[in-house]
Amino acid sequence: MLKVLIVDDSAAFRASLRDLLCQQLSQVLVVEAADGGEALEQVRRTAPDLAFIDIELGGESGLDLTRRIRGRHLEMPIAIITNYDLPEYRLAARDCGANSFFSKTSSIAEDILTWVASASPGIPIP
Amino acid sequence: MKARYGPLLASTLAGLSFLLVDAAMDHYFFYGGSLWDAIFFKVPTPELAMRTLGFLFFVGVGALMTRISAKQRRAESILRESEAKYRTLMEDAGDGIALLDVEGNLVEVNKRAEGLLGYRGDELKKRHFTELLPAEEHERATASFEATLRQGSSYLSDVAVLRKDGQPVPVDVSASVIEVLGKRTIQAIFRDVSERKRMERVLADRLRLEELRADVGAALARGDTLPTLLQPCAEALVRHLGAAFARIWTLNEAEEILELQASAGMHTRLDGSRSRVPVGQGKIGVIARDRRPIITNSVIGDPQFIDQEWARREGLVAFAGHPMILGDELLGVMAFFAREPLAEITRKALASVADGIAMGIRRHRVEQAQRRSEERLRFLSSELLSAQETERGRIARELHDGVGQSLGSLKVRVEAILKQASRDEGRVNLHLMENLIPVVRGAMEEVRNISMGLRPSIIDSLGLVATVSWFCREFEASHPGIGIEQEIEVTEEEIPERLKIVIYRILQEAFNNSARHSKADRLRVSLRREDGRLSLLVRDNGRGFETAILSPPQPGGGGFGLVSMRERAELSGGSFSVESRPDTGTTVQASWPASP
Repeated sequence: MLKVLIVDDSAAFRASLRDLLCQQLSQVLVVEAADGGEALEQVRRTAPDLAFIDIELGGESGLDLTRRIRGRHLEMPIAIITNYDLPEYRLAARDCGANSFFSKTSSIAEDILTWVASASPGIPIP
Repeated sequence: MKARYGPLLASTLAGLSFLLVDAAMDHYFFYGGSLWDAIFFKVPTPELAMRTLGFLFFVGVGALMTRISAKQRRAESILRESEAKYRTLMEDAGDGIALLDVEGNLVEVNKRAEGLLGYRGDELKKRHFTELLPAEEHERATASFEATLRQGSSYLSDVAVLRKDGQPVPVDVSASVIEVLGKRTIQAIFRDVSERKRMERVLADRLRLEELRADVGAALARGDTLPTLLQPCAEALVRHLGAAFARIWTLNEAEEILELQASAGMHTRLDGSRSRVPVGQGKIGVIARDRRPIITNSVIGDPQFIDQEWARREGLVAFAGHPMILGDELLGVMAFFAREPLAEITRKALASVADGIAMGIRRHRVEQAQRRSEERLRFLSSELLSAQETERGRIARELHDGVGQSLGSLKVRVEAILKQASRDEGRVNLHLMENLIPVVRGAMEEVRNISMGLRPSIIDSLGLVATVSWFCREFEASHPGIGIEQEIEVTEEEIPERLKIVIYRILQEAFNNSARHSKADRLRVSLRREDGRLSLLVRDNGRGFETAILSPPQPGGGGFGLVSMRERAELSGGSFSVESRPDTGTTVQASWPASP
């Protein structure tokens, strides 16, 4: 069972991403968080295998959250997912320890599924 | 007692001698007997009777004369007494008294008059009264003298008489005709009124100063431009202090120049050679530089006054130049030329008027600044309202024309897919579905652009440095003719959080202004710490403009961009400047104290 954490302040987007993952992959458990605090709580409780983190979270940014997770020496793969596909964001994502970067606008579902598969060997992709 | 009966005694002796002489003559000529017989015995009776009668006649005359003399003596004594009384009165009088004959020659003067005029009494006697008067008083005094003779008395007020040392003394003279020893004599009583005159002068001076202060005060309260404020002050100096001319300059601090604002008296032009005086140059400039007054009663011969010929021709003898200072702020210089030496009271008045005018100028400046700031505020708020309206219009248009149209198109396409799916037994045309993606993506781009235009979220998540780099890239993309050079020499941590959006907005405004107006093809932005300040600099190589037109902002005219940049900088505790000249480009600089 693959545990995936989705951190986004938009419930609609969380639901879309959850549906995509659950429909396209078998044996996936999705946990959700709307902000940095909830996310850290989920990380502590469920120890997810990988995470999707939005940059704009209302309070603390997803980049800061990523940095804090990395600060706890947690090596789980993290993908930053954002509305804004800017080089500055890509650079910042890499700098704070994210493994991948997706744009809500320009990335396609295929890329996301591919990354999940590559980040968690053993998960069959249909 | 002896003297009183002198005439009687003398007459008796005369009678006796007459009797003896007559008897002796009888003796020699007629009788020849002894002298004794000739006296009493040998004289025929008629002869004796005649002789006795003669003797008695003499005695009688003597008695009569004695009586007359006694009467006369009594009269003389009364006269002497009255004369003595008059003399005592005259000598003890508090006023000067002179007796003159009808020709106007002095007959007698009292001690008081001698003291007043500085003469000894006999030096004055026989002199004509006009010799004691300056020429300009002759006519008035002579008329008054003649009036006295004609009417019996007259009064002459405030006439100058000359002391022996030549100094004039103001006196009031009351003259009347009196009889002295049977002669018509003019008695002139005169009183020294110098003290009264001095008091009158003091009062008049005070009145003059009061009027001067009132006029200056009124002018300072009424005027609403510097010339209308200061011109009546200069005129009041001429009117009340008797200046030949008075002038007032105010200091233009930026240029270190004194600008002539008011001129009254013999020169009234404001655009002459002294209209702009550099601080330190000439005596006016020196007064401003040293902040010390220059006051002299000897303009002619003083090398500080270069145009000696002019001063001599105009008869200018006195000069007073005062710096107008409040606290340690120099506001201007006031200068005063006079044809009379300056009295102490005038000097003091000038000093106090200079202070008063300084306050007036300061007040005027404060009011001007206030008025400007109010105008600016009104201008800003009206610009703000119209900018807000424009912005709302733009967002409404972008939402409607962009996102709205995309969503509309999306709806129609989804409906078409559904319709076809229902025709094809529920089979969805994947190709049509794929075609939806670019439409959705386009709508997302539009929302993103609107949102970034309103406030770039990157500034909140990544900070200013990343935002500047993003903005420059976007700007270059949308303005292909403009190359941008970035010199960001601060780290994100060195920029106070609250300043980030301010700096971004100023940068954005400066770039947009440049793109709109300057025709520049290069823009340089630098952000660095220097001299303890965080400094933003945006420079272009465009055509520039006259910086002078920027201040104050012209309501209705452009310049709101610049004003809003200034407002943003100043409201956040920073300073702002724009330097621009035609053909040399524009530099916008904003800086803030760097937090430690």
